[in-house]
Amino acid sequence: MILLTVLIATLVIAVSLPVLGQRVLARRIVFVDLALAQVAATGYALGMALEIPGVYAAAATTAIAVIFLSLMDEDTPLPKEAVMGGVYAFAASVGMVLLSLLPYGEGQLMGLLFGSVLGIDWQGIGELAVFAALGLALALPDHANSFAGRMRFYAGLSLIIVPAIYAIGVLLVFAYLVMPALSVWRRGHNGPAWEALTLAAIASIAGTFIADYLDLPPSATVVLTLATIAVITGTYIHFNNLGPPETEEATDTEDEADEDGKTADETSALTTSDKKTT
Amino acid sequence: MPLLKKACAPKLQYATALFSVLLLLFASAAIAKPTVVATVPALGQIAQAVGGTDINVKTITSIGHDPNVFSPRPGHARMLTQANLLLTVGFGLESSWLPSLIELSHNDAIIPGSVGYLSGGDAIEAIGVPRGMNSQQMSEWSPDTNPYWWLDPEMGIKVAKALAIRLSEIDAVNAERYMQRVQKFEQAIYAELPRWRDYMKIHTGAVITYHNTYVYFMESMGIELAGFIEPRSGIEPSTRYMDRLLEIIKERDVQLIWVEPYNNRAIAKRLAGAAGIKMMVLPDSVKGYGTEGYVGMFDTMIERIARWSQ
Repeated sequence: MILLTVLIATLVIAVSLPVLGQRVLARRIVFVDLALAQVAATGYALGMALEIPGVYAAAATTAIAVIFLSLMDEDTPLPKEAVMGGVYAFAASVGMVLLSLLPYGEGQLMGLLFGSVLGIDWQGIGELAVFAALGLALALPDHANSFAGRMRFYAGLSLIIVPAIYAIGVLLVFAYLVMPALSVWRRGHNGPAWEALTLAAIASIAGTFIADYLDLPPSATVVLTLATIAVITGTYIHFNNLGPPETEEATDTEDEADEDGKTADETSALTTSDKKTT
Repeated sequence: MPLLKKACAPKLQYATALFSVLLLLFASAAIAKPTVVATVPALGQIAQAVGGTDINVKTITSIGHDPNVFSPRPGHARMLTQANLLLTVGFGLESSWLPSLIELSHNDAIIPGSVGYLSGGDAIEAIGVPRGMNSQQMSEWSPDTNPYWWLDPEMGIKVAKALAIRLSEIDAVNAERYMQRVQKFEQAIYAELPRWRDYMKIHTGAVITYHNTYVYFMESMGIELAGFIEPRSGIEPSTRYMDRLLEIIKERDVQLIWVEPYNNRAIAKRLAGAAGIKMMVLPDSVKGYGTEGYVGMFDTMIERIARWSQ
């Protein structure tokens, strides 16, 4: 019975997070999920300090963070990961200071940051699916690089990620956001979404049953299964030199072109060495 | 000559002032009350019960804090600098943060092994395997490391007695008063203990708890333990283990799951929901001074369990 809710919960995130992860990877803002989750948790603590319901305070601080992140142009010369990292560190520190003033708050904030897939029931799965559908509807359609467009994207992102971390924990959310997208990533570009989705779903099913059979913690086992499948797929794609033709790279930004150059060189070097050995 | 007098006068004044300041310092040290620093609130209450107005008591962690993962602040090191006695739970509960804090305080009087350091381990032995455990649970049970002894009132008395002896060594003038107070503390607990035990006999069957926190309490009150949700602290249980707990709940007719105030309630709530039983948060300390606070903690626990068991 508990096995079934765990399985369905991991399948819900396996369907909703990898596609979103591809958008996150393309924009090079991987830290955004940790930053948003931390801002929400700190908001919760702030709510307790000000004696207003924690959920509303969390929603308010997350909204402020969304507005702040939307102010940043997507082609900004600033390294975006550094901004996300900064937001994360700032929010975590504010949370820590608030906690030190609130003797009763600690347990609740920990619970908020580290949900567990074992703790989710059918109602929780329903809520997770509704938030995921809403978030995907906002974040997935292409948006203009304007304040309103970026705000729609970040709002959608936080609608999926914050409730998901609350429900099933930061470990699973981060892994499902990044690993499938990364494993089908090729030549500096996102691979097909169906590949990322398929391997995420396989990892959910296999990982949940392996954990049950071997009597292991489900979150960590599912992540390990996902990592194993992602590494195998990624290595296969890398060595088979799959991806769009190299001429497309000319249109990329300087940064990406540099990295692409390297990977292309590496790949060609590897294929030539392969040829030699054969 | 007058010139010499003029030159000497400020020096003489300075020396006199310094002398009087030193004199004051020594005098205040002689009449100062010993300061006892306790690591958790319940231990602070035991110290207040024994020391009363003859000592100053300070507590490092607050009610609701998980003493396993406490992050001390510089103020806590300063607190230890002024301490004459450090009262700790022991059995590894504070091992992740207390040793470095003691080092930071540069207070040689309270290092482990000295007169100014008293740990639960100096007065009591850790609990053995609690009753009601099956062989599977016993294999996961480490009897040496359960530190939550203050939730057994009789263990509290034992440590209070050890504390009274230690305080008498540090502050011999008030030795008799410490001994008298510890007797009163003992009487106050034994006045309530039979009532608590009777209450628990009527109101609880076997119980599942999140961690091994309440094992001393359950042993003392005669409550049967059916299992833990998270047998190894900080490691998520498996789905198979959760299903086994569901079977145990049915077999042994468990009606209640207890969770510490600082632990993740989601998993316990899920288990309770799946089994159709209730989950409750049980405190491990409550507000209050001295004996009143410590006895009040058991009153609150018993009252809450009785209410939730109905």
